[in-house]
Amino acid sequence: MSKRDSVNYIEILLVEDNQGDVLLTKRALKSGKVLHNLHVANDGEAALAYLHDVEYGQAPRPDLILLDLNLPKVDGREVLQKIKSNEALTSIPVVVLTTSKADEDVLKTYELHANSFITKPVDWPQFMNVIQQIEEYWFTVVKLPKREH
Amino acid sequence: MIRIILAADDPTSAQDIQNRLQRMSYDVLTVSIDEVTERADELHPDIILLDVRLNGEKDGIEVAQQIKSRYDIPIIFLAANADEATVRRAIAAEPDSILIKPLDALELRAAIEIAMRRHGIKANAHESDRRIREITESLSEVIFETDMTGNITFVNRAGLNEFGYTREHVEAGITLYDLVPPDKHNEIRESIAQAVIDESSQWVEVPGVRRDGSTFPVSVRASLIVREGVPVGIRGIALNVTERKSAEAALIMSERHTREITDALPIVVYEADATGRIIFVNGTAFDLFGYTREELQERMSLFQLIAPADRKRARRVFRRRMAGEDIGRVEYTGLRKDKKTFPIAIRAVIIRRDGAVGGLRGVILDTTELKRAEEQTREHAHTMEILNLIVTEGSRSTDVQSFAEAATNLTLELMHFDAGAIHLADDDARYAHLRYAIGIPDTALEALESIPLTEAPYARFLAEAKPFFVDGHEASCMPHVAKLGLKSLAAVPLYRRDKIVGALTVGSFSRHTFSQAEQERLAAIGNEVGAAIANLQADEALKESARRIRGITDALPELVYETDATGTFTFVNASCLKMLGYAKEEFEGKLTVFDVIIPQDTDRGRESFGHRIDSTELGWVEFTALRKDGSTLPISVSARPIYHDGVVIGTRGIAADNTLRKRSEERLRESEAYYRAIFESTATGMAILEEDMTVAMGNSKLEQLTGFRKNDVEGLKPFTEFVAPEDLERITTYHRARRRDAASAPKEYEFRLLRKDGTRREVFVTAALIPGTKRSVASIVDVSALKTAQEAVRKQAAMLDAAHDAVMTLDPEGTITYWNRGAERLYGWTTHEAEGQNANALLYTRFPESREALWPKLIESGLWEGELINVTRDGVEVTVASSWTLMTDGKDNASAILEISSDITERKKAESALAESEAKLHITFATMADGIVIVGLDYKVTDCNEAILRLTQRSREEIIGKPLLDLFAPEFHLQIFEKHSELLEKGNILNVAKLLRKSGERVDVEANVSLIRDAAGQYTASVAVLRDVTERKKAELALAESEAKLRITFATMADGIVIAGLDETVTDCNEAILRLTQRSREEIIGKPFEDLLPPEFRSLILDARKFLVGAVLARTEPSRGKKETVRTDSQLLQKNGERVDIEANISTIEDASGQPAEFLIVARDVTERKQMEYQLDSSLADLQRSNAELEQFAYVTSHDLQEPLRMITSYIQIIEEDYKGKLDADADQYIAFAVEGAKRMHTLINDLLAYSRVGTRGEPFMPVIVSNVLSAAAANLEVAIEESHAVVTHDRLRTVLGDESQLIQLFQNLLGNAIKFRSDATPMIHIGVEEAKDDWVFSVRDNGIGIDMKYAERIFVVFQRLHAREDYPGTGVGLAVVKKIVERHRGRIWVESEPAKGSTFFFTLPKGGIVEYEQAR
Repeated sequence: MSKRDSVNYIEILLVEDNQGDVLLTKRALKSGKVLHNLHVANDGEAALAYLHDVEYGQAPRPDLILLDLNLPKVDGREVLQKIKSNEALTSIPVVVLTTSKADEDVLKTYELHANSFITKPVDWPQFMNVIQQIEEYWFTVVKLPKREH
Repeated sequence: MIRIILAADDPTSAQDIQNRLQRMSYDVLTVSIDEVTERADELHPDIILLDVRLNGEKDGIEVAQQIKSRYDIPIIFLAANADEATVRRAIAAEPDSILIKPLDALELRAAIEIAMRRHGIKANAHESDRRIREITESLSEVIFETDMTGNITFVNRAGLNEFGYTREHVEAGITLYDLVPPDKHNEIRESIAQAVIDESSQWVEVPGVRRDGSTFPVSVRASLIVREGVPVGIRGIALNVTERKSAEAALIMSERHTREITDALPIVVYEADATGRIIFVNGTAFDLFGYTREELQERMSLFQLIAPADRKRARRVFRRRMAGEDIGRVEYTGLRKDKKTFPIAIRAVIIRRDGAVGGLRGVILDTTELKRAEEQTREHAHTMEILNLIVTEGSRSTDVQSFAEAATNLTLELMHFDAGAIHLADDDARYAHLRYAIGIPDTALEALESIPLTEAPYARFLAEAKPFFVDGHEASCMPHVAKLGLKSLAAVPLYRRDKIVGALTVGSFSRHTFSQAEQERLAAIGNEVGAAIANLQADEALKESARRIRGITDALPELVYETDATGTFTFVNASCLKMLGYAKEEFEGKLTVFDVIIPQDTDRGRESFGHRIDSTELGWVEFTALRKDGSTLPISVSARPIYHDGVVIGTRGIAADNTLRKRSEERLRESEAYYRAIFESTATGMAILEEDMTVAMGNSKLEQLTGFRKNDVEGLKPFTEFVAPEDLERITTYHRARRRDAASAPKEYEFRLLRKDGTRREVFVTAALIPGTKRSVASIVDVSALKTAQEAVRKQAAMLDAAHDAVMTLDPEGTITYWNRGAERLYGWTTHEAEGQNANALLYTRFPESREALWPKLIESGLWEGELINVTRDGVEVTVASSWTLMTDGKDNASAILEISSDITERKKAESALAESEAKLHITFATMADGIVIVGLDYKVTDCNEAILRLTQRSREEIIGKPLLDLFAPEFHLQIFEKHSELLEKGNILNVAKLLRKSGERVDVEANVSLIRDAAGQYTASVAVLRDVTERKKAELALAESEAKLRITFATMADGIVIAGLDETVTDCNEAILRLTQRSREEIIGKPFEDLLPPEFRSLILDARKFLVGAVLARTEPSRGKKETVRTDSQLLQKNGERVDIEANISTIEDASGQPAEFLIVARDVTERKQMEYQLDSSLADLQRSNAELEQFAYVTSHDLQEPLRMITSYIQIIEEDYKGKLDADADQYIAFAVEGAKRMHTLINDLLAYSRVGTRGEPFMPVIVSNVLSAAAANLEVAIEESHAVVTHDRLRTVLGDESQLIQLFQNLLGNAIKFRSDATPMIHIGVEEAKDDWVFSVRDNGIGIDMKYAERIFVVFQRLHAREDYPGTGVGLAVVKKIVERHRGRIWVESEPAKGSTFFFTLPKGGIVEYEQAR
C-alpha cells in the first residue's frame, strides 16, 4: 500500500486460483517496464469482495483486471458480468486470461463486455511475452479514463 | 504427298522404281495393268506411271487412252528398249512425258514434277475457259466466236435459239456469213477489219438471217480474240433489235392513227380550249349527238352538248377542272341535235400548251344503259325489301286476319298506292270474301264484300293465274273500277302452289300505268302473301282441331295424348294428368312417353313407339305406367301416327287403365242391351242379315214397312223377299261385294221394297257389315220424299270424298266423271283437272293383263280386282290395289265403272325390302363361321351352311337329308333326345356336344338350338348353330390346371394369405395364416378381416384399402396400369390375444374388366426380423452414445490436460532460464529433454482437441464457395508456401454445402502435407474436381515424396506417422482430422501415390450438397 500514492504505480487486480500462474504473472510483470501494484484474488468470491472494497474506497481501484475464467466458488464469467453491470466498475478494462481456446468461451466473454480475451500460452517465454504485451498495450498504448480519487 | 500409281511390266523393275520413288517421299502403289483403271477409281492418284509394254491383256497405251478419257490425270509412259513404232504410238497417246529405261532417279523426279505442274496449269486454263463458257451460255444476248476466217467456233445458247441452229449445226460448220444476207457481207468484213485494227468494232446494224431464211434486225459488235499476242479470232455480240424497231415504227405510225383509233372507241373523246370551245372531237360524237364534224369542231361549245338545266353546273365544273382540281366523273343530261336528251358522264384532264393550261381533254360517256341497269338494280332491291318485310310479317303473325291487314298495308305503303283490299277464298274456291279494305269509300265496300270467283271476269282471272292490271287508260271502260273511285287498279291472285287462297287488290285515285317492274313485283308479293296466308290458315285449322280435340278428350275417361316424333308429349288430356299425377306444365313439352312407364318397359316402349311412327298396326299394347309419386298403374295403349304434309310428325294415342278398359267392356255389354232397345224403338226399319241374307232380326218399324210380322220373318225369310224383282240382282251383287270387301260395296243405295200386300215403296238402305262378324246391318228408310233422297246422295258423295282411297267413276269410254279427294291426294290432279279427261291418258295406267282380257271379266262378274300402276301428276309411279265395279243401267248395259284404288306402293317396297333382307340373311347364313344346320320335324337335316361342312369334314350330300344324330358322337345321342322336350318348351337351348367327323374324329362344339315357327306359331323346324369350342376347351383345361397349381402354392406357402372381398369379409385363406393366428379356418372365413388385427392397426388396413381402390379406379386404361401394392408393418392378433409382428402386402385382385374385386393380403411373420431390428437399433444407439461420450471425453481430457502441462512447461523453462549453466551439463540436457517433451505433449493435446472437435463442435452446413476456402487455406499457409516456392493451381471449383471452417482446415491440412512432404523439386500442387454420379470428386495432387501404397490406409489413422519426427515434424493427426471432416460431410477419402513421384489425395463431397451457380470470377 505504500506505493499506492505514487502516480507512477499502476494498480492491477489478478483474479487467478492457480498459484503457479500467479507466480508466473508476477514474474512476467516484474520483468516488465511498468511500475505496478499487483492485487491477487484467488477465487471469484475474493475478487468480488475486493471490488466491493474498491467501491467503498477501502481498496485501491484497479487500472486493469486480469481475470481467469475457471474459478472456484464464483465463476470468472460471473465476476465479469458483475463488473460490467456495475456502473462504478464498468470502465475498468478486464482482460480475460485463460487456458481455453474454445470459440464459445471467446464469444461468451466478449458478449459480457470483456475488453480482451487471451489464451495463456503454454510456453513460458511466450507467456511472459503476452503479459508484457498486455502491460504495454493497456498502459502505454491505450488512453484510459482518469483515475478517480 | 503426291500419290502415284505405278504399273510396270516386270516385278523386279517395278520394285526398284517403287523403292526409288518412296525414297523421294512419293506415296506409291504398284499395280498390275488390269487393275490400273479400277484402282484409279478408288485412289484418285495425282499421277500414273505406265509401262508401255505390259504383259497383261491390254497394252499400256490403250490403258492410258482409257484413263485419259475418264480422268484428267497426268500420265508418264515408261519404255524399255522401245522401238520406233512403239514410241510413235506412245506419243500419239499424248502422255505428259515418256521416260526410257533404265531410269535415272533425277530424271524420273523431274518428269513427275514437270508433268504435275504442267497439268495444273492446263487444268486452270481449262477451268477459266469453262467458267467463261458457262457465263456466256447463260446470257440472253447472242455471243459467238469465229476464227479469223469467219468460221464460227462457238455460239451461246441464246445465239442458237435466235438463229434457229443447234450445236450439231455449229460443229458441222457454219460461218458468220451464213447469218447475214449476201448484200451485207461487205459490212461484216469491214467490221471485222475494224476489229482487227482497233481490237473492237462499232455497233453495226444488219439483218440477221435465221436458218429458216427469215430475217430480223440485229445490232452487232465484234472484238478481237488475242492469244499469246496473236489474234486468233473474233468474239461478237449480237442484239435482236426487232422490238426496238417496232417501237420506233409504232411511234411514227401513232400520230397518224390516233384519230382512227379514237374514232373506233365507243366513247366520245374531245379537246376543248380554255373557253370550252371544242377544238377536236372523235367520230363517236357525231353518232351520239347527231352533229357533223364541221358543225361541231371549232364551232360549238362543249356546253351546247349539255341540256340547259345542267349547263350552269357544267360551267362551274369546267372552271374547277381548269383550276387543276381533280373532280373525276360528273353526270349530266346530254342534249342531241334533235333535242332528245340522254344521260352522259364527263371526265376530263388539263391539256398544257407551252407550259400553260391550254384547255381540257376529256371523254364523254353515254350512260343510258348504265342508268337503266342501276334503275333495275334499285327496283329489284326494293322488291326484295318488300318481300322480305312480308315474309317477316308472315312469320310473326299468329292469325290470318292480322297478317292480311299487315300485308295489305305494307304493299300500299311501300308501292305508294292509295287504296287496297284483300279477299280470302272459301274452301271450295267459289267465293272470295273481303277481309280487309283501306282507302276505299264505304259506299263501294258492299260491292266488294263477296266476289263470285267462278263468274266472269273473275274466272278468267283465276284461270290465267296471274295479276290483272287496269291502268289509267282503260279505267273508264271498267265500271266496277270507276265505282271504287279508282283510276287504275291491280288485282293480284294469292296462290299457295296451284290453289287459290284469295286476292290482293291495290289501286290509285290518279292515272297510273303499271311498269313491268311493278307488275313483276306485285306478282311476287302475291305469291309470298298467298303462301303465308295458306300457312296461317293451316295453323289455325290445326289449332282449331287441337282445341276441339282437347275439348272432347278432356271429357274422356281414357288417357288421350299427342307426342312429337321423339316421343315428347305435346298434348295430354285432363284424365292423363289426373291419372299420372302431374300438372299440365310438367307434362307437355317436358316428359316423353318413356318417362311415364316403368324402366323395365322402356325398351319395349321404344320398340312400340318406333312401330307407331312407322305406321305399323300394333293394336293395344299393355304397359305399366309410372305415376309421378312413383306408384304404378297397368295400362293399355293404342296410338297412330300424326301426318302433316305426308310426313309423320308425331303420334296420337289413347291409353286406358286396364281396370277401366275391363269396365268399359262390361259397359259395352250393357250397352248392347241398350242398343237392342234403340234398335227396337228407332223410327227406321232395321234388319240384321245373316251371310246368306236371311233376316236374323228385324224391328217393329220393319214390320210396319213390310207388313210382315217379326216372327214370320226372323230366321225364316231371306231379305231378298222384300226386294222388288227388278232390283234383286243389284242388291245381291252389293251384298256379295260387301262380304268380299266392305269398302268396295256401296253402303247406301236405294231399291224398291216389296210389301206383303204386293205394293212397292221407294226405300233408302244404309248397309254395313257388323265388324268381326259375317252379318250385316241394314237400315231402311222410306224415301218417297225427294228431300230424303237428296240428303242421301249428298251423304254418299261426302262419304266417298272422305274415304282415304282414291275413288273415281268412269263412263264406258273411260272418261272420268267423278274424282274424289282421295284421288286428288293420290294422283295430284284436282277434280277440276281430272274430270272430263280420259283416265288412261291421264294416269298412263299399266294393267296386269290386257284390257281385252279384263273387260269380259268385268262384264261377266261386274267386279274386277287387281294391281295397277299409275303415274301421278308429279311423274311418280304409284302401285294401287284397284277394285272396279261395273254399274249398269236397268237394261244391263254398262253405264259406269266405279274404281276404288288404294296406294300400295309402300307395301310393294316393303315386300321387295323383305326379299332383299331374306337374300342378305341367306348370305349371312352361308358365310357364318359357325356351322348351321336346319332340321326338319323328322329330325333330318334340311339345310346347312359351308361352315358345317368344314367342321364335320363332310360333303353337303353327306349331311342334307341325313338324320341330325349322324353328325354327333353316339354318346350324345341320348342327351340330344332328352333335350328335345326342353327345346319345345323354351324355344331355345344351349348345349355342349361332340361332332363326329367323317374320319371318326370328334370336335367339341357348343350347340345353340332354336325353334323355327311359322306365322301361326307352329313349330316347323329347328336351327342349330354349332360353334367349334376345341380351343376353348383346351384353354379351360389349361386354366383348371393353372388354378390347381395356384391352389397348391397358396396352400403350401409359408406366408399367410388372406383373400377378402371389398367389404373386407374374408373369403379364403391358406394354412399358414391359421398357424400365424392360431385360429381355425372357420374362425377366419366369413369374418371381417380386421378381426385378425389388433385395434390400433385396423385403420391401417382401411387406409390401404382406400388407396388401392382409388389407385385402380384412377387408372386411365383399365388393367393396364401398374399394379399397386401397399406394404406395411403390422401385427396379427392371435386367438389368445397375443400378437405376431408381420409385414403385410396388400393388393387388389381385379376382375376381367379391371375393376377391383377382392383384396389379397399376404402376411409374413417378421417376429425375428423385428427382434433383430430392435437389437440393432439399441446397439446403434449404444454405439452413438459411446462415440459421443468418447468425443466428449477426448475434448474434456485434452482441455484439462493443458492446464498441468502448462505448469510443467512454464516452470521447466523458468528453471532452464534461471539455472542454465549453473547446474552441471547433464542437468542442462535433462532440462532440455523435459522442455522438448512438454512442448510435444502440448502439440499432441492440441491436435487431439482439434480432432475431437470435428465431430462435436461442427458448424451447420451452409453454401461454401470452394475457391474461397482454398484461398483461406493458402493464406494460412502463406509462410510455408513462400518458403517452399510451392505453386498451387486448381480447376474451376464449385460451391458446396458444408462447414466452411472445417473445409478450410481440410484444405489447409492437405496443402500443408503436400508442402511438407515435398521432394527436392519445386512443389507443384493441383486441386482438381470431377463430376461423378452422386458426388464431386476433389483431388489434391502433389509431386512430393509419395507414399508406399501399403500405408494408404494407415495414414488416415490418428497418431500414425510414417517418418521420423526429425525428418518431418508432426503428430500424425492431420490426415485423421481430414478424414473425419470428409466423413462428417458424408464423403470418402483415399490416396493414390507412388513413392518419389507424388501423391494424390481424393475426397468426395456429395452432389446433393452442391449449390449450382457459377462463381463470380
